[in-house]
Amino acid sequence: MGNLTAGGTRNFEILDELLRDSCLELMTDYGLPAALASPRPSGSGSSDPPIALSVAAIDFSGRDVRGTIGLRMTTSVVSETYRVALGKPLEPDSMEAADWTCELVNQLIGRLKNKLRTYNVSFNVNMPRLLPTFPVAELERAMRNRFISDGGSFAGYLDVMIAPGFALVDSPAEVPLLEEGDLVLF
Amino acid sequence: MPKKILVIDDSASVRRQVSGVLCSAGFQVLEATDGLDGAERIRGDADLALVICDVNMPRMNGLDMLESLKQEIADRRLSIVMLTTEGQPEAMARAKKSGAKGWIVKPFKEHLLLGAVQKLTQSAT
Repeated sequence: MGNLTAGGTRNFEILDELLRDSCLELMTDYGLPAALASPRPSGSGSSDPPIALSVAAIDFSGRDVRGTIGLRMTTSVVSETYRVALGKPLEPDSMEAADWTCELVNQLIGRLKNKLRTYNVSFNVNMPRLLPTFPVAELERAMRNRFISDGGSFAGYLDVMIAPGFALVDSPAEVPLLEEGDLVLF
Repeated sequence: MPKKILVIDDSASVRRQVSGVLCSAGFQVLEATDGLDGAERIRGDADLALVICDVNMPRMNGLDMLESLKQEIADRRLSIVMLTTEGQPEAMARAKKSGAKGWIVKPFKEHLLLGAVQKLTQSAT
């Protein structure tokens, strides 16, 4: 992340915290409460046993922030969340599995966006995309939160650029804000 | 005769999820994959009882679709419920202004979705 001012560091701390909460809440809603995984020692990744992974990413851009959010999951997490949502098993490597992986990252960025409303941050979101060949090394440079649950492991990534001089400041919402699962009839 | 509901979402998984809930409750469900597809189906089917529509979709998003059909929605008294990850008050206000009757933030609770659909389809008859 380069040389950061104190204010810049605080921006990234806030985003990291919001990303962590968004990841945890998303998976908890699908029956996978999770805990933060311990940081791996540098260079230990190459000796890990191969695990089937699914990764999706989505770009966003606004006046003050822009970047990419990614969600890396073991395929068991994709299958389990799908089973909870639709009540049926998911065929691995199917179009449906790819679609659901993208939907999960879409819901992750939705949560992050909703949390950022009280910081007066807004952005537009592009279409989610599956990353079939996962650029691990590239994403590992981004801020990340890794989690372990009974259904498998997952990690949220955020690669973000913040406008110079911009500071994330939490301010109370003027109107009650909707949360995930809420319904409003007009 | 079952009431007809159109589900517009670019995610096949979400369409399947919503369809499963509504079909179990006795509704007939049609699907569209984006705003353009959705607008075409709305214009082409006079018997729709309700539309459930995502916001963030390729080609045409749900809010743009809603605005393009504003007069038709009003004339037909067609109920539209937005189902989206978005919770921005500005987006909700835009939807309301164009005639939407409700807003649900994903992931949805089945009983809330069904309750809203039943209420809106009953009040439309």
